[in-house]
Amino acid sequence: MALEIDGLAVLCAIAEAPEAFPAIRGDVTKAAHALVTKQLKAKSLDLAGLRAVRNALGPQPLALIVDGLKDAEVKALVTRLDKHHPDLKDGPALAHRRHLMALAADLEPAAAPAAKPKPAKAPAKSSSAKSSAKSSSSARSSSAKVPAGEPAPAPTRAPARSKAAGAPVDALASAAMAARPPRRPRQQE
Amino acid sequence: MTGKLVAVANMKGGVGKTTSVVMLADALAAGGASVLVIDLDPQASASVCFAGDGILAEMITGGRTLDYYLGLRIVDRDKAALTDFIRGYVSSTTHLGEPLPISLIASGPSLRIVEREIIYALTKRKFSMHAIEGHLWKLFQEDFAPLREQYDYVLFDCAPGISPMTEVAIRASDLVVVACISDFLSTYGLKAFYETIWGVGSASESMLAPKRPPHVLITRWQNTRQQATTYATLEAGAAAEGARFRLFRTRVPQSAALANALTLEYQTFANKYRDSSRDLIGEVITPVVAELKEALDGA
Repeated sequence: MALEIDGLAVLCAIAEAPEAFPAIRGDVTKAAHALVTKQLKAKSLDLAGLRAVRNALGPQPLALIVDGLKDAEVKALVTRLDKHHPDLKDGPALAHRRHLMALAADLEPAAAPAAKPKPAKAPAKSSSAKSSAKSSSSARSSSAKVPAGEPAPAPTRAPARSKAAGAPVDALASAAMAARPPRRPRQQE
Repeated sequence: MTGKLVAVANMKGGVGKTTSVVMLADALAAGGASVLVIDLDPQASASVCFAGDGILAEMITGGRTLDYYLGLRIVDRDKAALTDFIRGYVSSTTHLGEPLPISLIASGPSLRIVEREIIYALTKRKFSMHAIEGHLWKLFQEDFAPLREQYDYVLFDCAPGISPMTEVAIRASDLVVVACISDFLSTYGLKAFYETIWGVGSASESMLAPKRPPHVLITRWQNTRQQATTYATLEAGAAAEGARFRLFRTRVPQSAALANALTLEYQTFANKYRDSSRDLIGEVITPVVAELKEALDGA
């Protein structure tokens, strides 16, 4: 005797007989979005997983769902899946989405750069310097995963919008409303 | 390609004309159509929504707006090609990794002055009122109507109050979408608008009556008693024999997402119309576009 429904079987049944579920038609779309979005945001998702999702859904439904992700979510995912790509960290949001879809198709992520030669061993530090370095390094690792010995990255800022949003300082400030058309060649006074 | 000309209009202001134009342009373009938006309103709301303040300023100072074009063509009788005034790929919204294929003929505040200049200039040339209307009609047929060969949809964001150019666009379009709030004042304005454009004796030798009755699109819908009562009246009017207007079955709700859609922040179509309280794309925008196409196919 079953103790719980088989969720996948029920979803398949709904998909096969949508006429039996007219009241939830809109919810089905929302639920489908939510389920795939959750899968895409899963920390365990790797490149093979992303490609499996694409193969299961098809490229266009995946692209529509990726379009529904926030810019920051797409950036986090694409930089995790292609962590050595040189241009991703500062690229525009549109480039992140395109790159993610390309990775999902068949693009291979950038290879890791050749390992840097290890720096010569630093001279022994005093105990106070050691403890301060320790605390600063632990502070870094709690906020962001930075390999020990490397400088912490500058705080990342959202890329500047091409057309700035947000309230202007002066509510009446507008370049367009202040702009004047040129005089027409044959314009009368 | 034989595109469709669609005017979004109402004599009353503040009823959601520009919001409807932006929503329809975005949705049609996201569906793969090429769209040209022509801003006939000196307030330039549609222009700033698509181009942004900086690019619009550049278009105004560069003499690349509708008012400058009309001044050249009608007042100064100079040669000018309307296609030179089109700004392509003006939208910052993307869909499936591509910018929406939306082009714009922008307007600026000077449109108000140029429309006056046109009347003065043509009156000075001894044009009667009918002759002025006829002149604008001819210009529209020669310069604006052929744009349907380049775009799937040409959307006119009409000025409230119906300027001469707006009236020509309304009469010459394949479909007039009347954005209207379901309340007393807005529907009262609808009556005045109907009488002006579609009423008995409104057509003249110089300008024809529109091809189809107006299609009323309810905007800023809130399920209040007053709106529901007004909507029921509109519904009965649209269903009556010899109905003078049609009513979109889908109502556009009052929505913060739609208000935000008028801002210029880069975003995807999906995020632009994301509304936490409803499926705006699936339940509102998609059916409105389907109804628009259905109405146009019958036009």
